[in-house]
Formats: sequence, C-alpha cells, structure tokens
Amino acid sequence: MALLWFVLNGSDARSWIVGAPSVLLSAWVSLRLIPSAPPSLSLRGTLAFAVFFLRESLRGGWDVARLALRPRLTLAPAVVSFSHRLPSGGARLLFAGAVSLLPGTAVIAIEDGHIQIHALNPSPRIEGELRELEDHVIRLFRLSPPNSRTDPS
Amino acid sequence: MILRDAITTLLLLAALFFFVAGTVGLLRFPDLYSRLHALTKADNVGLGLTVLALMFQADDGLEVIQLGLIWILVVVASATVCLLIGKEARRRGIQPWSRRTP
Repeated sequence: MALLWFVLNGSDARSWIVGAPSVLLSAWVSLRLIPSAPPSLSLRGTLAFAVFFLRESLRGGWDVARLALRPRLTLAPAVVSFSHRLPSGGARLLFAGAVSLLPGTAVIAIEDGHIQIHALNPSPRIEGELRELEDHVIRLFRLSPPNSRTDPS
Repeated sequence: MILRDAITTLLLLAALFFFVAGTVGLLRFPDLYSRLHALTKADNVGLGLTVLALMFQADDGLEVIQLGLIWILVVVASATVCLLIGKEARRRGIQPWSRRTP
C-alpha cells in the first residue's frame, strides 16, 4: 500500500499527511478482510489474462458504443444464468468483475454455482465467451483443472 | 515531438468517441441494467485511451506507471460498483426491461 501511494504521489513529503493514515488504514482493513495467505498467481496466466482482458474490454466498449449510437435501438436484454466452477473468494470476484467488461454482459448476482448475468443481446456466443474467461481465471489462480467438462480450443 | 502530439491527439479523439457513445447509451438505454453496460464498458475504453494518450506526453517512466495504475484502479472500482448496483437493484426487485413486456 505504501508503494502504491508512493507511485501515485511521488516523493512530495506533504502528501504523506494524508498518505500515511490511508496506508495504515487500508493495510489494516485488508488484513482483517483477507484471512488466508494471498493466493499464488501464475505469471503466464496473468499475462494471458491481461491480453484477453484488454482485447475483450476493447471489444466490449466498441460493441456497446455501436448499440448506443445506432439510430434504432435494437436491444433485447435478458437475464441469463451461468453455472460457474469457481470457489468463492478472489477468483470468483475477478470473474464477476471481468464479465461486466466483456461485450454485452454484466453480472447482477453471484450465487454458489451460478451467477446471474444481464445480457444486452443474448446470443449463443455468450456461453462460450464466459467459459473462455472462466478458463483464464482458473489458470491465473492455478486452480485444479475442472472435471467432466471438455471445452473446445 | 510532433509525432508524439499527433498520436496523443488521435488517441484522445478516439477516447472522446467512446465517452460520447457511453453517455448517449446512458441516456437512450431503456433501464438501469442496460445503462450499467453503457457506463462501465464504454467509459472503461474511453479512459484507457485517454491514459494511453497521456502516456505519450509523460516525462519519465514513473509517470507512465502512475497513469497505468490510475486506469487499473478505476477499472477495478467501476467493475465493483457495477456489480454492487446490479445486485442492489435486483434485491429491490427492479425488473429488467424486456422487449416482450406490454
């Protein structure tokens, strides 16, 4: 946290009047909230996720921009349920956060085994895209490979 | 120098497009849920392009890292807020707009 503040504010000594209490407070809060040791992340998984995320969020922005600027509004939103295989905690939250930046999907509820997703224009492609994102998250967190399901690609 | 300025200008214009589109979406989309889409996704790209544009004007590496960090923090915050607003709206029983409702 101290590193984060330093990068953001540089070496200006006065900024630490606000910075020092913020650093202490946020460190304390995160220690309280995160009981276990931080998960070990795979470096390759992180890079692959970053590339996937950048590409998809660019596509997501473009997609929604196109829909918004189209003369006739052609939305047919629906709520779809997606059964995920992620344990609760960081992996699931990262997944939920990233879904909201993918083209046409936004998470509106997280439950055990399912997340409810609001889709702007539901299409069969969504399922595959979510599955791909899920695979990325699984690799990123080095989770044990999912059983029984074999995905293409 | 001129090349750097040209790249910055182009990226900022592209960013402007996404911010405008996001705002148009916010105004035109039919309900809370679809408006969340417009805001999170379009503004995320808009800010990303803005940050990229400003990176070409940075004086040193630290500024580049600062800018990148700002983008990451805002993306995390916006994804989190999107989720929280969606969850709360659902808890209150706000029904998503759908084409079939009379």
